[in-house]
Amino acid sequence: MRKTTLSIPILLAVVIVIVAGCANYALVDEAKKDYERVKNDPAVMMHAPNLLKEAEKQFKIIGNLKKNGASKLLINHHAFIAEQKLVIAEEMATLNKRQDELAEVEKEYQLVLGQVQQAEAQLAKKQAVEARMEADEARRRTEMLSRQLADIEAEKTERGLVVSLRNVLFDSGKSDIKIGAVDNLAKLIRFLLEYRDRNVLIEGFTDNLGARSVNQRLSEQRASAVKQALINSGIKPDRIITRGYGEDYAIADNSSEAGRQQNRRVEVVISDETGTITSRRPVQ
Amino acid sequence: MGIFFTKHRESTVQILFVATLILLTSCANSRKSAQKITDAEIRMQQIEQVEAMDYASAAFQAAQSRLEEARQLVERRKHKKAMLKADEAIVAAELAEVKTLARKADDSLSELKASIASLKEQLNQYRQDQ
Repeated sequence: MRKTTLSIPILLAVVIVIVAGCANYALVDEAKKDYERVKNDPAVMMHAPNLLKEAEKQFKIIGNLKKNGASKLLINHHAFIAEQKLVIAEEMATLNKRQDELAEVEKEYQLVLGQVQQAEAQLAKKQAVEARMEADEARRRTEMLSRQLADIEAEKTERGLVVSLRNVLFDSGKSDIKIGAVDNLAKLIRFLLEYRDRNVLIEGFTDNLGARSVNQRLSEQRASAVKQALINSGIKPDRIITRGYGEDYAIADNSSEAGRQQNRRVEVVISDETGTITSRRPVQ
Repeated sequence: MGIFFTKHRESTVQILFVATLILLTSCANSRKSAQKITDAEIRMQQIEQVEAMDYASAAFQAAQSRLEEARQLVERRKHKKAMLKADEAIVAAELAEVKTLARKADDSLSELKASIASLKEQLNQYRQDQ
């Protein structure tokens, strides 16, 4: 009986020693396993060898602590530090790899940026040349327009450019364009063939001889006669509007033949580039 | 009282010496743990500034929880254990920082690659326009 009571504490002590000796250091084992993996990573060896050494240092400390029977808490602490150092080593290798890649990609970026800037400069130069050419062309066209307007004796009025075809004459009471007067239309026709964005309003007028209603019809017929002459020369009808104003808007005294002849006339109003023509103000 | 000291003079001196030694060791441990916690706090502030909580939240939280454990251990006057936890917090913070920098480098790389793609597209457009 006495033997039994003595053997129980001894047995307990033996069990405790065995358990302590075979203590499960899972964190340490895991850290060592990771160390075996990480130490064979060339990137880690290249970029973070010092961190590997720090982990190795922790394993040495763990070894000494085990020999001296240190607490599991302390051993696990060093295992944690070792594990963290290994993960940091891997992350450091990744970081260095990324930084190397960044340096390479940055070079490519600078190269492409340089190409874009060069292309931008070339394009800007080209656009400047084109703009200068366009400006030259516009100036040339403006100069030509001015010359041609001067040629057809266009006057600038509040309604726009007005060509008074004074030489396109009509006999009294007639709407046929006099032979020889057709040539006076030629310049206007050339102008309209050149500037296809311009429309025209043809206005016919008479002297005051005869009935008003007859004169009204006659003025419309005179405007139409000019319209027909333009159409015959290739001007599209939809660019031409005609109006007859009879004996209204006289520009000379109807008491003399010379005055009446001036009043028997046709005026052509040329539109702006948008094709717009301002209407004549009504007679007061 | 006087008779007691005279009789046990040697023992009294020894007790007083041991008590002083314990007190001094305790004070030293207290100072060391406070210093370790301060170091860990500074490290936490540094990784907060690099936005580690967004880029490496798990590592950041691991560091933060260990720092908190260290603070609680100091309150319970377990200074040695507190120092260990503060050390762990510092290493965890170091990991959070490196992870953050690696993720940021990833982002920068993606952004740069996207910029290059965009520039190349622009370049092709310019070449077509010319």
